[in-house]
Amino acid sequence: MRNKERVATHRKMKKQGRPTQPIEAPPEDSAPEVNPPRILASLAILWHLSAVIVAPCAVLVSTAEPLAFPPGGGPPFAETSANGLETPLPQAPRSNDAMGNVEVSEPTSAWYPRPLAWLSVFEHYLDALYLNHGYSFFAPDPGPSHLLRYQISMQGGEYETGKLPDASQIWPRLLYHRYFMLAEQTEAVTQQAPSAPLAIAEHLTKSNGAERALVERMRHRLLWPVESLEGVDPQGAETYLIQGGVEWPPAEDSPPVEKTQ
Amino acid sequence: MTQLRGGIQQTWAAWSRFWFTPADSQLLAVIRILAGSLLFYTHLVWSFDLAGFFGGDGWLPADMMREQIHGQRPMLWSYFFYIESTPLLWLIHILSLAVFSCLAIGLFVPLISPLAFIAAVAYAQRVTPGAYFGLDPINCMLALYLCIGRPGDHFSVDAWLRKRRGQPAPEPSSRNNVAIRLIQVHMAVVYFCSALAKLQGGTWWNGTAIWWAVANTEYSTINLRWLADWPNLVAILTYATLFWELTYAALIWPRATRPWMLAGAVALHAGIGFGMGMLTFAFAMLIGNLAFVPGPWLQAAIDKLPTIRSSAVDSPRLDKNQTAKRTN
Repeated sequence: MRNKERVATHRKMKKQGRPTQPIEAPPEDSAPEVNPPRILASLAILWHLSAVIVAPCAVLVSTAEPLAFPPGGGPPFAETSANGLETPLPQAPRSNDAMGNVEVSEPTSAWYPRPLAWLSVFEHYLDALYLNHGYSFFAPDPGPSHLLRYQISMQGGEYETGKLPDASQIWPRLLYHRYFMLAEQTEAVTQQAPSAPLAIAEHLTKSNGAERALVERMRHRLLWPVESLEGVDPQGAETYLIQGGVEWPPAEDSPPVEKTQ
Repeated sequence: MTQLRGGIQQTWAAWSRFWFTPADSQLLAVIRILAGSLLFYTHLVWSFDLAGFFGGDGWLPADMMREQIHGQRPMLWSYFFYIESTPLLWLIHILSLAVFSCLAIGLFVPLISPLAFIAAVAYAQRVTPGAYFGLDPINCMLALYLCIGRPGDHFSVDAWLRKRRGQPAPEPSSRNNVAIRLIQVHMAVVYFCSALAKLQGGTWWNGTAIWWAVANTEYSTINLRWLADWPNLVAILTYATLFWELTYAALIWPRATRPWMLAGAVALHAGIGFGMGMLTFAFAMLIGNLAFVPGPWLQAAIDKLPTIRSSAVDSPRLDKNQTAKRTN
């Protein structure tokens, strides 16, 4: 019985006028062990939990838009914030690293907490164990999707078109989601590896035995509720915005590929 | 000074009780089976385009990723950055699938657990960024904590082999408790930080976030755009999601509120799984929530399964005091 419970029971019995025994301290052998393995384990647990907590907190503080770390699972931000709420936190310098290689910056004020600096202590540990995530699921806001539309030129002048992801062509659902993330994260990858879009176009070309490929990145905007009620097609052409494209081989090496609408 | 010493002793006692009370491994074994199966399926799916995602000349070439993205952070490791040969890639992949399946069925678990974690991280690092999403960090988290406990002591081929050899049943171990507690605390951190991240966005404040989620046709598997006519329902769902995530870290621990929070987890992740097409992610999160299932519930479920119960007879049975210590 714990000491608190012992005291409470003692007081209750005294109120009821029942004979009580003197409260004795719990026997020494009931106290938990204080041995080196347990102390070491406790220190390891504290270290680990500190790292687990610092990683997402650093993501939250490092920047409001966009995140220094790639989103843990959610899509990019909405095109417009519905009521324009400003982040209460000052913006930290953006990371140049698509992986969220956060630049540790000096605070403008001595009292400002420095979770980014704390992160540097745990960085290697977090990276090695794949714990360097922000868990920003559909955060800060659920946003539009990004897709890749491609046109590949086969030998003989034929064209093939397609898009990534394409739910009608890709199964199972998890594989579809992987291609979806490939399209979504192309921008994040390109920030650090500018040749990434060309690499994707090259892979499309070679894997299909084609001569050339044109790959365009599209943003598929979301319908407002009123548009949905008016019957606007969520897959309509006007909902897709071309953000840019690349050709492989690069244009200077071959005649430009005619873009299709 | 005496009060300080007493406070420290009480704190140490509470800490020890929370983390180091010996626990049976039955719950951890259930998590092992489900997480191992999910790991197997997650990585089996890569087979459809293995060379594309992991090959040297895939969608995002290995040398490009290694040099331009991962090069500045040496601990963002993956042996897939160095595999150029397609036959070798497939060999590694098949061996990894074998490892995950051994984890699921509980064969050679003390050796397989760390190998499964290493493999899971290697896959995830190679596609981060590129093709990863929330499923991958949760998979790796579960694989990590399974290494700490003794998840192979029950419901496993190892347990069957042990019984055939006439070896005694394993005793409850502090390692099992540490593993379960780490999963519990980690899940609490995940949900809380997810909520904080949402609070940085305007749509979670103004109650429209759920609409923007269901309006995304690339995610949605069920047409929920009829919600456009029900703005109040959208707001309720939005605030309920936010409230549940924000309070999870506090309300999942007390016995009175835990069943409600677990029910909320099932509802939330069922919505994400069936409505947004992310069944695997939903399943991974529910596996993490399993760590909060009280021992008596698990024991009652086990007692209803005669096949499992007969193999559990030899094992120390979960008793209420033991589970109370473990789960409080």
